[in-house]
Amino acid sequence: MNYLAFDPLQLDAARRRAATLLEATTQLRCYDPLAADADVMLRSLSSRLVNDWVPLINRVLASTALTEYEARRLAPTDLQRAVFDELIAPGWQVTVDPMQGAVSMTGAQAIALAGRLAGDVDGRLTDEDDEVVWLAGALATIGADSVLRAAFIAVFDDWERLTQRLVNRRFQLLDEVHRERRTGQVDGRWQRRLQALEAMTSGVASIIARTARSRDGSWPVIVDRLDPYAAALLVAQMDLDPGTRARLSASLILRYPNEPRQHVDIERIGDVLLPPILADPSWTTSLLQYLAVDPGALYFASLDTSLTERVMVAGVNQHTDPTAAMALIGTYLDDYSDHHQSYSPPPGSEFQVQAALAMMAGPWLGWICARYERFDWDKQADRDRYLSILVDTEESRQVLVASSEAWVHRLADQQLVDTAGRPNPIVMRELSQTLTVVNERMRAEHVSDAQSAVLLGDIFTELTSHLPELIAMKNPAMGEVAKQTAGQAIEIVVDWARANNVLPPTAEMVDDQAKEQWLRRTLDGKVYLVALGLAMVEHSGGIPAGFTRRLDLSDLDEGCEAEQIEERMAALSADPQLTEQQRANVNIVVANTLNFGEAAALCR
Amino acid sequence: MVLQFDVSDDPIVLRQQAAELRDLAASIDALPVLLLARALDERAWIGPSASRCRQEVQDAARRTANAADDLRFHAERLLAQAEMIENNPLGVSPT
Repeated sequence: MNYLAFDPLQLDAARRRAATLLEATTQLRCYDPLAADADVMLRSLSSRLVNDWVPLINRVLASTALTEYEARRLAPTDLQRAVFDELIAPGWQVTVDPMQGAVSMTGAQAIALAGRLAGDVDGRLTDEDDEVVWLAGALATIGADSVLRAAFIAVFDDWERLTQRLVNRRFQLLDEVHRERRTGQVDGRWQRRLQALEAMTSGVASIIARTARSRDGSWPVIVDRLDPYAAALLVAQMDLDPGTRARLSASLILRYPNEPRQHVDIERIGDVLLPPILADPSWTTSLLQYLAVDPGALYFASLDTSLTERVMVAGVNQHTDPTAAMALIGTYLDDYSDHHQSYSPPPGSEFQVQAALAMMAGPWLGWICARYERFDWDKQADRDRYLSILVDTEESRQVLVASSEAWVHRLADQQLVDTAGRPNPIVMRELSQTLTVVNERMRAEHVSDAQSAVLLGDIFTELTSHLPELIAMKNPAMGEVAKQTAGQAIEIVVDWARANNVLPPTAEMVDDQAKEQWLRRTLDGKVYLVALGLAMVEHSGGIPAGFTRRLDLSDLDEGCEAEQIEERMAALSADPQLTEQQRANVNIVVANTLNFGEAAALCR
Repeated sequence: MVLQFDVSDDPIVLRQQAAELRDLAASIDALPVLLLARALDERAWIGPSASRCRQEVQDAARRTANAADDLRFHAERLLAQAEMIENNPLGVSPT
């Protein structure tokens, strides 16, 4: 709402001037074509006098009587008067501006407002709702105008006190909003007040963000000296480039008191800072990198734990540079390894750090297991330590499997088998080694066989349900027929698995003996991959139809050691009916699923 | 004041037309637009609408001054045309 101050005597004199001008203007008429422009000007002048200016003056002069209550409400302590009090003389009136619109202001008024706010030690000037609404508009007007900004900050620099007041008021209002929701008696009053306060926060942010320099330096300096929570409220409202936002947000999260961590049950700093970051997820990688010095600061920074999870997942998604993603995953897992005792969730929080780390790692599962040597990790020791963390709890295992779908999708982008039916040794090795390593780590972590079976079963299900279809879909070179019959490859391997008791136990299959048999069969995850590899090659025509079925392991009741499978595969590949190319294809599958040596060399 | 003009090549008519354009310019100059602008300055009122109104009246004052100047310019041209006709009644161009 805008206000207007006037001297009734002076304005009444102006009204008489306007009447005289109107009378003189309406008497002038001219029909000479050379005076056409002048005639238009005179008619326009008459029109503005009759329709705009005289009515405005009349409404202002009449407003004292009509809106006397408004004038009375604007007591000397009311903030709205601040923009007039130091400008008007005795006898002036203040009234609501008859022409509503965005709050506008002069430099002198901005200075007057700044002076009032600077002197408002106890916050009385902003304790009324309508004052907050008005101040929000006034601050936004000042923030949008360089002259007004300069005038304002020349007088006002007590940002600490003003922003701390915003924080305190915000928590009061949030408390009321939550109480209202709990009791079910929602009338929206507190929510509207909260929105008004957010508008005022936005107004403050607009002034600070556009202030290149103040008496105390540029705006990052101002932000830096504020309480981190207050600064977060401003940063969230500022129109910043994403890189600056990521850096500032990380620094504020790191500055947020962490010993002991504040477990505010209404709102935490991450709830304020993370939503704007997630608006452009490409910058979540930067945020995670800045926070890598203390990942714990991030874990419990938000009451809404989905925000933290989304940042962690987006920061290392499949579009992230692999070196950056693997470095982040390694750093965060290292930190967990060192500090996991202090990462138990606070009361009321369901955030599980291990599960969140599994979300980060799942899309890179194959890289962690099979390509770790490329990255700056301490070779196998790091890999094993990281995987032990990821499979340590039931929840983290489930999350790891669910989030590994992205890895399967990426795997399918590569050709598992080329159009000539030749298997891809690198992909074979990644598949095989991933399952083997996960299995090994689960055993090393003493995860019970039943749990181990479920995890491996889930991973196999993930592979069998997605891989052939994705391979066909993402490799147009395989042709339309191959796409339509992609499921046939998996039918081959499922038939084979069924015949040899290598199908993973289903949820309904509670028979312990069946689980045991399955675990023995898939001792290290390689058996299934041999069959999967063969089936894919068979389906693509790289070996004769029905070849996969000839790998009969049903007599191996005590399990399938790799050597035994290798012997049987050697016998099969010696079949004189195979061509040299077909024999080579079989050998590639064997070499890269049972023996990693050759493929590991290829991967380097 | 109501003025009616016809286009003419009669020097007398042209001079009369010029005189009335000058009269009109003088009348416009005499309009109290500037006085109104002054009456609406910050000694009378302040506020968003007041600023906007003041600015509009000041713009109107500038436009009235420009309109009066244009009328005087046209009057000068009419007088020059009348003089040319009087000096060369047959319309023959000087060689």
